[in-house]
Amino acid sequence: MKALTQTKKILAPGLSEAEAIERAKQGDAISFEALYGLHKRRVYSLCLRMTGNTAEAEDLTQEAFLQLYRKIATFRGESAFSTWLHRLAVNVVLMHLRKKGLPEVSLEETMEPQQEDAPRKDIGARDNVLAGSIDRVNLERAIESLPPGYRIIFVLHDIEGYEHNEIAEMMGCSIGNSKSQLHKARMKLRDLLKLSRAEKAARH
Amino acid sequence: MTCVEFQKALPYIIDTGGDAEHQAHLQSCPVCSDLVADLRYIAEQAKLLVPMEDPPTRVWKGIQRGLEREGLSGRSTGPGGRILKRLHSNFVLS
Repeated sequence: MKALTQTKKILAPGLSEAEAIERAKQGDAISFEALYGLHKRRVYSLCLRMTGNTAEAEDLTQEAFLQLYRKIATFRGESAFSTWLHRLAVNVVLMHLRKKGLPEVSLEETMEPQQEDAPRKDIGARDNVLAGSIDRVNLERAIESLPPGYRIIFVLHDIEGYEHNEIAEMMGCSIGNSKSQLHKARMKLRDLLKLSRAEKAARH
Repeated sequence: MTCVEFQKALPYIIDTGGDAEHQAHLQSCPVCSDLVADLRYIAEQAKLLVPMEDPPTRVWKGIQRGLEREGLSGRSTGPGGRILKRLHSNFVLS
């Protein structure tokens, strides 16, 4: 998955991320708060995109940092801290979804398989390509509208940069299933974005 | 190759570029070519999405409360006690 690109992040004058991590392991509150300040946006965005719900995202961000507090002493630096923390946050979200008993994490049972696996109904029809016609806001809205199962895979793979084998491990599904769900998510997004574009054109 | 056959193999084609037969169909079929272009465009745009916004300040306050609720402030050993005591004093002072 993607790690933050900065190799040495300075959190405060004289305090690098690596130093903050070591101090937080020793119980330094300022350092723990500094780590929260550095990573809160990305963790919150991850939770928000995966759940599509502000209140849940806030609760899960809180839980992720509580878990960070409990587990930071086990961080050995084998991966980037941001990678380790975001994996922890993903697991917190997935655990939450499992507890809710929602079908979105039961990926082996795909939604409406016959319909989704069928060839496109618009074969033969040509429309303008999407390139250049979607902006960040439209894309965020479309992602939010995705069925939860599709949204989770899309966020993990296309936004967060996890590989299919990592997703399969986290989700407890096959790599093939992860690939299949991602493809369906992108197809659904295409439909949603085209619809959004058509509605916008009709208003003008 | 028909459009139906091509589109059944789409995940593989998007992943790997497909084989010679897929490439030949892609060159000759504007509908499938547009579809592939759209799917690649969506994936590219998603990679450009950045974290959206900071969580509200109540999230941090909730973390402080959560640590306190778990009784971590009472630890005599380990980082918990010290962290909570300092979080507490920061909270009271601010």
